[in-house]
Amino acid sequence: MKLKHLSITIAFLLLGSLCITVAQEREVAVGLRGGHNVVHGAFSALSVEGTCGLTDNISVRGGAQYATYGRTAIEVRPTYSLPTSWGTLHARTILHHTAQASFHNVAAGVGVGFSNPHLFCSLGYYYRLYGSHGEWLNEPFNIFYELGFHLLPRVERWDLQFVFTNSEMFDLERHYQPSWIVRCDWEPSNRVGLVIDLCYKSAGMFNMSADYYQLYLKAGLCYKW
Amino acid sequence: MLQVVKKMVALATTAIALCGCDVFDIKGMFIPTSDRVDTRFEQSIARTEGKAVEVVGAAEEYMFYVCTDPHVDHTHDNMTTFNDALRTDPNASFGIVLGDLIDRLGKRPFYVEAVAHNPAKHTHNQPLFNVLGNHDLFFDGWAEHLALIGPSVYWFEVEFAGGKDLYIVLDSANGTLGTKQTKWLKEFLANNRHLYRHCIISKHTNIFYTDNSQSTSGNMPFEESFPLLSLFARHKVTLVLQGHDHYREDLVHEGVRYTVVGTIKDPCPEPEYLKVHVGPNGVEFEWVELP
Repeated sequence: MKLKHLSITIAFLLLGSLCITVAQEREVAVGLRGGHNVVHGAFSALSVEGTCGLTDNISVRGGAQYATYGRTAIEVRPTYSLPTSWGTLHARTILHHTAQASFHNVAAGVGVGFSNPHLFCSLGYYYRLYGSHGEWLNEPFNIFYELGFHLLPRVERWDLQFVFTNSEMFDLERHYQPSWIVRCDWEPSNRVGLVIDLCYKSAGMFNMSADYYQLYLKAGLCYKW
Repeated sequence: MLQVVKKMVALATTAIALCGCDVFDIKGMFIPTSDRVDTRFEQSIARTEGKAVEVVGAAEEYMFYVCTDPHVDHTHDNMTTFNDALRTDPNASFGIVLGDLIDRLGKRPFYVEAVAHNPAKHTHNQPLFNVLGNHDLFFDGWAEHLALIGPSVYWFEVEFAGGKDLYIVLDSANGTLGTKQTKWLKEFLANNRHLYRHCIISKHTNIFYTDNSQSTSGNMPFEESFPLLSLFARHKVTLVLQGHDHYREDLVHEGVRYTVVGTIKDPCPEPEYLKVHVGPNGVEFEWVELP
């Protein structure tokens, strides 16, 4: 329990540090998830996250999430971006920690990405260490990936995305466990944005037999300055 | 013209992907093609009426056979070897096959033939308990599995003088236990675990992902591993037997032994099965490698 409180404290300190960094564009967002999971039943989760441009090329995204089934997650994603004539190249890192009951899960990964007005993708490797009561196991062969399409590339202030990923913020899953996300993004002003995610996760993909695992709706409100 | 060709290629690719062949149910990788795990659980519990499917009599120390992933196709030589070894061993109390019984559409009767008791060469007729694997579900395979093999979720007891052991068979063929089975398992262990000396759980897919032996093939979601590990540790489960990976793994986490048995399919590089010796102090393994 102390570790859980420590995780939350670290996350908010991190967010605080992001917010006081005088640099490029900054964004803070609050998200609320509500859905159903085959193991935990109906659940909701509250997240707070921030993105801060430290320089023209370096940004950091980080935040924390608490789910009603007792899981606390914190995640930090520093990214180096390099604009090119045909899109932006990214070098990404992921630092992830979740705590649930006595279990702790720590993961660290590095990867590359690409984005342009039509699509965004990333691919990388991560190493996971997890366990409880001092007994640790590792997963040395994981990859993270994301493939997304802007279905309506920035028409006025609307954006509709379709995303296939195993590395949604706060949910770093094994490589055979992707989620399908439909994301609607609306920016009523230059400072305020609203995001709605509909996320479906099936169990048993990839040479198995698929079945429903999880469905949730996420509403997020973000403020930029 | 080029556009027409492109459309035809796309259409043909999609059609092949949706139909698959009679080995890989490609459509099933994305959407359920068989009854869902919750439905299978309900049908299994209805079939067994929630009671033990068998009470096996044994001494306080006894032994049973385990193999997995025979993937019976055109041949079943290794499976026949396993069946013959089990049913000519006077010290064996029963056998367990941890899933993926068949590899190809229409081969289930062939598997039944491979594991049948043959009085001409078998001196004993120990019960053989089967676990449902993902390949057994391909091409809407559940109905035939239920009819020819039996339920996918059940439990049985081994009774000896002065006590009994609990064996629970779970349905993880979709990589998840699903809502209803998870709830049942929690309640079942809470209400019954204290009545038994040992509790041994058999399931197909692996909770852990400590090696890359299955490459892109799926196991259980990481998120589902947490509550299962916690549940098994809390109820002092003795042993969790798993298959699917085709690669031997044996580890202990929070006092629970998790063992993945390598495949017995033919042909394969190192087919194997396992003899589990059960006694008052726990379990001991004797691995048997087939030529």
